[in-house]
Amino acid sequence: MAISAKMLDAENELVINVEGRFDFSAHQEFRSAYEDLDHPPQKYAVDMSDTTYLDSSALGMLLLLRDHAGGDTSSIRIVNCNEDVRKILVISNFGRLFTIQ
Amino acid sequence: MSLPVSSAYSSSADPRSVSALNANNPVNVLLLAAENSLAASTLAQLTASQHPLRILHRAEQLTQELDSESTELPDIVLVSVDAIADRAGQFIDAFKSRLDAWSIPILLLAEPSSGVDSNATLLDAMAAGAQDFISLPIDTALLEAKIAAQLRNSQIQRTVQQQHQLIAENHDHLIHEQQLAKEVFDKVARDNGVDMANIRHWLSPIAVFNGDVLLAAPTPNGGLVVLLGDFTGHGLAAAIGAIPLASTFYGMVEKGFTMQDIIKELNNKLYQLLPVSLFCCASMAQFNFEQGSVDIWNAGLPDCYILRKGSPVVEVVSSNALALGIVGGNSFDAQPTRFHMASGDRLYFLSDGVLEATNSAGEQFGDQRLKDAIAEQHSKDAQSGFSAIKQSVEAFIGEHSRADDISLVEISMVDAADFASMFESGKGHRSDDPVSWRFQYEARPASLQYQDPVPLLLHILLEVPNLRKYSGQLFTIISELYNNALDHGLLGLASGLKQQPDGFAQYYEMRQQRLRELDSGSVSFNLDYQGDAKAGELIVEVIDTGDGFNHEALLAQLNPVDVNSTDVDGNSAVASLDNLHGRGVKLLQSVCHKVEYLGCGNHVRVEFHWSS
Repeated sequence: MAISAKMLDAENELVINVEGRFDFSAHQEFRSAYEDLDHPPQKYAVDMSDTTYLDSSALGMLLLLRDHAGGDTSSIRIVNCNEDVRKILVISNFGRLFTIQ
Repeated sequence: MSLPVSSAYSSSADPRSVSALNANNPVNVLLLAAENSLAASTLAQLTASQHPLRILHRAEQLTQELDSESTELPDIVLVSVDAIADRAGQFIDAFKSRLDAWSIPILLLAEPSSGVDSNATLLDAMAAGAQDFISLPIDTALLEAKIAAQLRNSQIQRTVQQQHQLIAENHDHLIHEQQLAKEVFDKVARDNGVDMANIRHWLSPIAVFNGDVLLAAPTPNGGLVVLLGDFTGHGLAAAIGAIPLASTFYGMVEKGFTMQDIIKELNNKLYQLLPVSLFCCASMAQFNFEQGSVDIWNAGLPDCYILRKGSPVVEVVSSNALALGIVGGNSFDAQPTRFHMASGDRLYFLSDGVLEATNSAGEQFGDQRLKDAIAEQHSKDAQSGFSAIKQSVEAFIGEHSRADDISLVEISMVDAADFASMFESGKGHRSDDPVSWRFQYEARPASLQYQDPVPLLLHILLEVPNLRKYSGQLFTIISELYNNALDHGLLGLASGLKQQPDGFAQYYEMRQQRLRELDSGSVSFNLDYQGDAKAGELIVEVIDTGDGFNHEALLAQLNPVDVNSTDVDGNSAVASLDNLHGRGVKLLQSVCHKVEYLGCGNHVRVEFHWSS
């Protein structure tokens, strides 16, 4: 599990990349990827192309990000999910809270 | 040269926090050696470099010194081999436990020209727990370095011990808190309901307090509501949410709220209480045994399954809602889907633990295997069928893995009468004493607009133990009488409206509008109960301030004096009755001993009798 983040200045979007298992052990790293930024972005994207697995505490972390990004007014894309990850997001109906691509 | 204890050992606040030897960091050294021995003179040079030294000459003194609670402990104990000679092992044993508790090292000093067999003594002493030995003579600087090295080791050991103790204490504390939480939860979940004969479950907690919650309770009108919840996290995190979940669930089911209202309330409660990252996936079902229907709602849990008696086709009910506690407000989608189920059909709820149960090859059990295992049970009876499903999961994961996070529940559709008897046998208590009371309740516009009085009135009636088994009938009586009084009496709605196409929607739209605009009038209830262990009589009177209706015509049509005057099929009577509020009255007549209208029709009085 490793988390990296990069800022796309043109889009004013922060892209957070989650590698490996996205579970409770990623808690601190995931939060620090978006907290305490000098210039908070308007939009966020969580790139799951290298995410192998996601558990319910990861869903909780996504909710924390959503809360941080403004709750109902937030703009967060979840992109490049594999089949297993997508299934979990669909069962949880997270499509209502995030843009899943 | 022996220094007084008090001044010798009070040189620093914590004499055992020493990590190196220097003048700013004096070390308390306790030496056991003969007078004028090389050991004593070597150590005396240390004292010159400001390390407090106490020299004891007899082994017994050392034991006494260390046993005494009032003595301040040294940082290190040096023992001349000559002083303990042939009883080294025994001697070290005697005070080692006291030194170990503080991680105080014991260093042996071997004198060059003693008559003692120093090798044997050293071996004995080291075996008994002495840390190391130094052969004399030795350079003072080297001796200091040796002592410093020992002190560093003991410092590390002490830190490890302290951390270990802290972890052990925290762990005990955590377990204790989880047990307390579990105790509170068990009390909130009280009857728990899940021991009813038509519910079978397999719940294997991963910790003292599992993240999965199973709740079940009978409704006042003879139905059953079951909820399987899966909180994010385990232990206390799950308990925090499970307690309000259970108390709200039981409180609302008992009072007869609809499943949709219960779901909304559970969601709001958890949304208000839980931190953002904590939520509860849930499957919920309300069984109506009279109608053979089940309302199912799945929010974030894996597919629920329906197995029809005699058919190997397993139906799937997928999650279509957000889990409880994620979003607030009334926009929350609490709409369940209705399914028809015949007696003997079964419904399965599960959390992801069953699907993720893994065998030694790392394969997961998965939904296809579970569906197959369920399908195989279509011709078996529920009890052995459920055991077979459990066995197939256990056989798959094998003996090496543990099925430690599994929740699987099976609820069978049964006949209403069968369920009533299950429920009754589950509840043991009954009251033999005669009971007699009267209760009056008047609802005015402000409360009619915002509050449904039916749950409140039912709650009062169901406080009478002997009335509980008639909860279905009582629900019918109270809700029919209330709806008639409000809709037709106060709001002046004609039930004929419901006969037209779009009539229902129009009816409810008008109802909402007129209720909003209602600014005067009231509905009064009068409950009068008298009964004992064997029989009882409940009289319910409902009076509204509306205009009433032609009740004589209605009752005449419902109860024709001359049976032959209705046509063979009863069609004409039914058709014309539908223009009035005939169906509801007919229903009341089927439940009540007597139904009568008084005054202009705005006052209805019904009698409900029971006897065992």
